[in-house]
Amino acid sequence: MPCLLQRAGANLVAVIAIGCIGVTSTAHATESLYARLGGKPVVDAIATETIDQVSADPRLNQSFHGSNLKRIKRLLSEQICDLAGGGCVYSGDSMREVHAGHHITEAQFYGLVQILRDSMRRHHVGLRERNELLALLAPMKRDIVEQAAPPHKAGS
Amino acid sequence: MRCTLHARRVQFAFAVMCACAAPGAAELKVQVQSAAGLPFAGAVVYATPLVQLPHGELPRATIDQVDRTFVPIDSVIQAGTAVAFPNSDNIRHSVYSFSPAKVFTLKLYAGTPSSPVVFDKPGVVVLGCNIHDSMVAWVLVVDTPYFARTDRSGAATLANLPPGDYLLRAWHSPMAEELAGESIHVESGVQPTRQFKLPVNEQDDAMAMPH
Repeated sequence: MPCLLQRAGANLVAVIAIGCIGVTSTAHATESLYARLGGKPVVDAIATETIDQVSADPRLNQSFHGSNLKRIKRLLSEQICDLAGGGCVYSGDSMREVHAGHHITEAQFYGLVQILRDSMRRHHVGLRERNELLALLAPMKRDIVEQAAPPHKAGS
Repeated sequence: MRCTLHARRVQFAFAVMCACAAPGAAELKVQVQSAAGLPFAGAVVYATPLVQLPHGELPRATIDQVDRTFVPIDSVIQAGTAVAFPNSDNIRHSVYSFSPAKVFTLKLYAGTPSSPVVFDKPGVVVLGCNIHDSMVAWVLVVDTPYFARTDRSGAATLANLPPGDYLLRAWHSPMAEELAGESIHVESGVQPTRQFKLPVNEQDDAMAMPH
């Protein structure tokens, strides 16, 4: 059985505790992750809570100043729906474009992951589904976290 | 032929005609008041000729994005001007307008220069950012090269106006629409001073206008 960890890439740091999740390609249909998460009401609630918490946390929120939070929540929910087989098409910009220039650190990335995981638990999302969703989001880390120390620019 | 007037502050109560004005040129002083009746500094005063003449190449204008704010917040440009959006912020912005004079969306990505946007129709253009909803700016697009900003006393002078018929108006942000204005006929020499009262006050922001 293919290991999802290999698909996510070798540079996945093990703060996200993911086992090898079996992805079967057998004959019987599997309910989508989106459905198993609880569908739109739960995913909307998780997206809202996550963004509310992150944008209120001074250690995590420098990129949110002045931003349209309602729009971010809508697009996060849409992105999860797209990734988790809910039938949506994510209409926002790429993670690289969205986060370019915001100097997101690895610690901040994991800060959001923790908040997202806690929100899922509060909405009674099971361990298997929590890990599946986090595994789908993990490859975004390299596009979200600033890869190199920015050169010092005058006036920046 | 345009005469380059070396600007000097004229303290007189009435305008003084430039000795080197083009023959027949008119000079028109306009006084602008705020809704509260106070002199309005920085208001745009503009005279649109009834007979439109083609314009030559227009200099480019710039509206930058600095610290999640448009700079300048308030611009006046002649129709046909290309406006550059440099994005000094180096984070993503998505500039848009739904104003009838210019409907557009321009995605500005960090480190990627964008093409300038040509504003070709006269009217008020209100800019926003899809990502940062506190960002707002106004662009008044005018169909004339004859425009000026009022000084601290609320007065502006349109100099070297060719005689003829004009629609005279005044404007300042956050007015979302232009005034109906005043149709005037201009002869050579100093014209009688015109007055305008704007429906906004100097400190008003977008919230002051119904929309």
